Amino acid sequence: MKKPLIADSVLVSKYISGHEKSLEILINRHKQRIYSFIYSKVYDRDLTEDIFQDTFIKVIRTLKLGNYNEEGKFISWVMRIAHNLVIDHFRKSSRIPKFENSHDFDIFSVLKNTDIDIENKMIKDQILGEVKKIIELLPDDQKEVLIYRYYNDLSFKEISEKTGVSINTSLGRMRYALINLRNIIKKKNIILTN
Amino acid sequence: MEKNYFFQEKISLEPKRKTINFILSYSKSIKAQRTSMGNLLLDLN
Repeated sequence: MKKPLIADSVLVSKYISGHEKSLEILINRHKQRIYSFIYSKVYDRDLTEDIFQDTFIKVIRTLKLGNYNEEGKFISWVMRIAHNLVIDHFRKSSRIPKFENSHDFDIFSVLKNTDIDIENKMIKDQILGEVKKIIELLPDDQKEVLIYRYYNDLSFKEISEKTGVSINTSLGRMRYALINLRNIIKKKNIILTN
Repeated sequence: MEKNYFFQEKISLEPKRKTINFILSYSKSIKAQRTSMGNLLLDLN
């Protein structure tokens, strides 16, 4: 006889209370739908894997932090997260400026104020220079992950392959790099905004 | 043998096992801790 299906909401509650296996059941139950949805938008297997992974990292963090509200269906919520991550990806990868389709077209949103641009660029260069100096103070393994991630735009999977350590270790190094950066900034009283 | 250019490889649209394993081990590696400022996530690695 077939076992009755445990409802998603029950599995979510069990997971929140510490039953890790419930997450595995939820992933296996919905993986094809979520994966196919992401793939149908990005048409790239590696990118789909990355977005699928990031979707569940967000799901896990929200559930563990107790920020999930049980209003809608679990699957709709996960699909919404995946959808937002797909949009984030296209926003990040898009190099062409977009204009909102508005009747109140403002010519000044297209024309540039050169003086302000030059000033902003100088401030930005100065800040980036300061950040580079602070990064130099980090331990080598943390510096490496941070540069690969932010300057070379590599995924954690690619970083782990390049550095020969696990993805978890790379994530851990990044976490410590950011903690150390914050500490250095605080300790040296550095202001990085204009 | 003549190549069949109309043959389309069926691809299974589901994540790799290693992606799922990574997600599951990530889940086990973090724990929520209640603090006076709200819940915080602790990395157990």
